[in-house]
Amino acid sequence: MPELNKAACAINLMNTGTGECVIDPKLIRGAIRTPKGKIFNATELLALQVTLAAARLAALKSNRIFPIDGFTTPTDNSEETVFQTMGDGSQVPVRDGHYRWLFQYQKGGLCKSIALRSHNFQDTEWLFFDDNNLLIGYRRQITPGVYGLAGIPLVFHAMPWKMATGSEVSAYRVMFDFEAKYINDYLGFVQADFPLSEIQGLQNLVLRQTGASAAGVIKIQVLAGCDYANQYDLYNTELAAVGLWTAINAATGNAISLTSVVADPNAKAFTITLTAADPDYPAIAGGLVTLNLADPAALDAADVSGYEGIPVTVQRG
Amino acid sequence: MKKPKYFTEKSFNKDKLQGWTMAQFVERYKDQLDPDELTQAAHLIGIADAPAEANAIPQGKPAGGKKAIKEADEEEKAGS
Repeated sequence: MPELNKAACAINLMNTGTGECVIDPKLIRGAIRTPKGKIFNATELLALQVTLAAARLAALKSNRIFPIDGFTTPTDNSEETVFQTMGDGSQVPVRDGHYRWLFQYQKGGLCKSIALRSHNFQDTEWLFFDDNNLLIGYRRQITPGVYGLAGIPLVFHAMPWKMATGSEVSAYRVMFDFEAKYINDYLGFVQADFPLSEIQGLQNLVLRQTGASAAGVIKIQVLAGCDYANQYDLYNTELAAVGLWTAINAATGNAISLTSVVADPNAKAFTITLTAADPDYPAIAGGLVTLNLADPAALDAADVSGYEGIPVTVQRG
Repeated sequence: MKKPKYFTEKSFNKDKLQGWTMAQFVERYKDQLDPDELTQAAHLIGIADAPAEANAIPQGKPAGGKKAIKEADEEEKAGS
């Protein structure tokens, strides 16, 4: 307890003996961006896989985790501890150096690089995980005496890609810069009992209109990946469900109800019939309607796992 | 060759189709579904072949009261 005019040098001295089990982080293989201010409590950590699997599907991006795995080449550019050389030649520590970790990755290539660069220049918090599935973060107080695992506040930067040379492939790299105290004095970690690389980030499902809109009817293709591969053959059964689609009046933002969604194998698309009697259905032909898929958790529940729809705005017929 | 469309009960919003007659359903979906598919879909969502006489609803109008009739009228207008 703080007391007036009393120094507190020795109160936190820890014993230096250790048992057989030691914590020795291995090669860092990935990182997970956590929601700002999020502290995973003991209950959530006990069911870590369920917690992370659900967090990646959060409807709001501000509540979602963004995992990256497949770090291949770590480079430690961390600062050394800063010392001041005194007049008598002795050195005294001024401060710990910043950690500055750089990781190269190949998985996801340029598409992932572009996605990660959307996280640049933001105030972000991240967890790291190593080869042994040790999840490393910052032990943060939830309430007095109760702690949880939080992401480390840091500067994240997905670097511009470097071109391939005759001897090296194109290089995609991410940099993390953070204060040493977070993984030293305030270190928090959890040993996961499953491969943390199983927790994957969501992929976009891009919606594209095919053909012209008819009265209240719009035909949409569902595409994924850098190559915009049509997902019809994979998900024609699952996505032919009216509950997995949404429509809003682009002018008012109000929801428009849907009457049906039928899979059309000839166009490899989904035929969406809007409820023309809905008061939010645009009054005149050519009015704009924004279509999207249901949120990632609803898609996951329908076995369309690991995706988020990207809305498309089209004219109604 | 045209392939059959895929749909299940989940493909249709039953609330929005409540009170529709087969004739209305066919009119709305004839451009999307082939005749046998229309019958199949109507059966799935429980659309009757014709409104019951006792309902005394004008030809081509849905059972389900004035609201449903109004909605169907608006839909027809929007579709025209």
